[in-house]
Amino acid sequence: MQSTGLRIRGLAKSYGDHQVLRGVALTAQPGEIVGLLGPNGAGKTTLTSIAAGLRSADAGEVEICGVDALADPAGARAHLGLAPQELGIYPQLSVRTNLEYFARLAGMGRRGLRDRVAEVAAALGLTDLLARRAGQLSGGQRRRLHTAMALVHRPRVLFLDEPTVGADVETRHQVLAVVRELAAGGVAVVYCTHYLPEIEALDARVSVLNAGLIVAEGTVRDLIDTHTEASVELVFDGEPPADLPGRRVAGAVPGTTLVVVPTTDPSGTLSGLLAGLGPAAGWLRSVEIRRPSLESAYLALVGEHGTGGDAAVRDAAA
Amino acid sequence: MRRPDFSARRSGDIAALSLRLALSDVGTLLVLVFLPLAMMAFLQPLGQLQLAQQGHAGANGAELVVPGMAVLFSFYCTTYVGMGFFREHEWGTWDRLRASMARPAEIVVGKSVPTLLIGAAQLLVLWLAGVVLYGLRSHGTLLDGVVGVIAVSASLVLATLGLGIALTALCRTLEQLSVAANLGAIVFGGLGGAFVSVDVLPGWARVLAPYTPQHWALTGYRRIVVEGQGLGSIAVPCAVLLAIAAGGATLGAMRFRMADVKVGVS
Repeated sequence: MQSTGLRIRGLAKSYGDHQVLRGVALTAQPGEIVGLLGPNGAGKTTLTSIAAGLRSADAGEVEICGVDALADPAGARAHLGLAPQELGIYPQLSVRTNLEYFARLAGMGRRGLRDRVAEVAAALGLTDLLARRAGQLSGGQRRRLHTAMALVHRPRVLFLDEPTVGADVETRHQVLAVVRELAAGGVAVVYCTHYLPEIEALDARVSVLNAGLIVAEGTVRDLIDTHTEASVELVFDGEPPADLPGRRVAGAVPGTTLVVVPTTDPSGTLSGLLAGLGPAAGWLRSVEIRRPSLESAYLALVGEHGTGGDAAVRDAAA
Repeated sequence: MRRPDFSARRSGDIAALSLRLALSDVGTLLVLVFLPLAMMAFLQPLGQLQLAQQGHAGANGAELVVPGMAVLFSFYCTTYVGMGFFREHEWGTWDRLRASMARPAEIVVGKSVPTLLIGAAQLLVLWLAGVVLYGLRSHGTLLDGVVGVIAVSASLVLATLGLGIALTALCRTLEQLSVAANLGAIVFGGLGGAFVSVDVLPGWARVLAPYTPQHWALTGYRRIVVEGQGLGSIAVPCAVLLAIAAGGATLGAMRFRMADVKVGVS
């Protein structure tokens, strides 16, 4: 049987009375990119920290390349690369020294080390910056160095916790390209982010973590098909006509009302609605067609402010 | 096959990088060396006066002020132990280091070694400068003088390291560590006789003096340099310093947690 890159089962963690993780299960096969999504406080960083051996778990199993990461964290870390959310670089040292240091700690010899540093630097556009002090780099360059430090020892399981936060467009593209290359080379990648288009661009398998539980998982298409549908949204100044179908929500502007009409045929539905408005068209403020997307599926799962999605949480808990 | 629990190579890599980072802080290093050298110049006449009153007519004062300032400023090395850890938190590299293959013991040893080297280098420079610049001479044999000073210095550096480890474990912020190290160096240094001999201190201070590590380091140096006693005379001072080193390291080991959040310079 092929060893799973990453396998997490029943992972639980509490801080005092607050249950951060409530029996999380997550897998990432070799060559697979798993997009771990969830609102702030959902438990993504705690999950990543436990897998990397930085925090203890209250219960559950974490296996990295066949090694029990909770019983033998040092053994598991030999296969693991971690780029935490917070930047972690030595500002006084050169880019090369930063990279070489973590390669050395992973046991790489001097001979292969220079080649590997050159390889990783080239992949992340750092070749011309190798001699520069890390503290003199721009924000995007620092972010690329931070990511490169997690890759330099060729990990087989890689955790990237918001690797493009605050990054420029160029950095974002380079990071995504490197992640694709790594997956193509057999690395299991867990990619935590709030930028959903990146997950779509990576064609990642998605796991949505909310309130300490995985509330949905599957491909981007699976999630869109299962958890969202197209809709037509009309905003009225004041009250909309009583016979207008759809769900009423308070509008973003005070005194307005949003009407959401789910549909499989947005254009046809919209023309029908507009034709039937009559004099109410006079206080129609705006119209928008919402196509199904990962973002709409995600919002349906976790709620607009990351506090909703109670039904999904209840289902996952059950 | 079971992996070895401790990799000297990895710990050496951590020590080498930590030393490099510590040496990049030139300002603090200058304080560790140039400030005590300047203080020696100011205090030497006072030291000569005290030694003359104690019946050492031929002494030039360096016998008191060189070890006094060396001991006083060697305790600032306690901050170096902590800075090695606190700065990692400040730079965001602590979790990265913990997630690497380095084991906790390799990290702690690697982070502590630079303090030993800096502390030893500091004392070496101060004693050599004391001989060259201030005419320091041992009143015993040259061999006893050299070996005795090395033995007390080694014990002192280890005591500083042990206390530094304890302070690192107990303090949450670099500011707390800095305050504790400064108070420890100045107050305990004063009580221990780093500025003036213990026998001219107020009565209450003479009672407290033996409870300071500085007192035992200065007692060892004094027996060798001023009184010209043999190596046997420094056994107790060295033993006390080594016990302090062991106590500090033990307390540090009991209280230190790799997962503790420390705050460097914000």
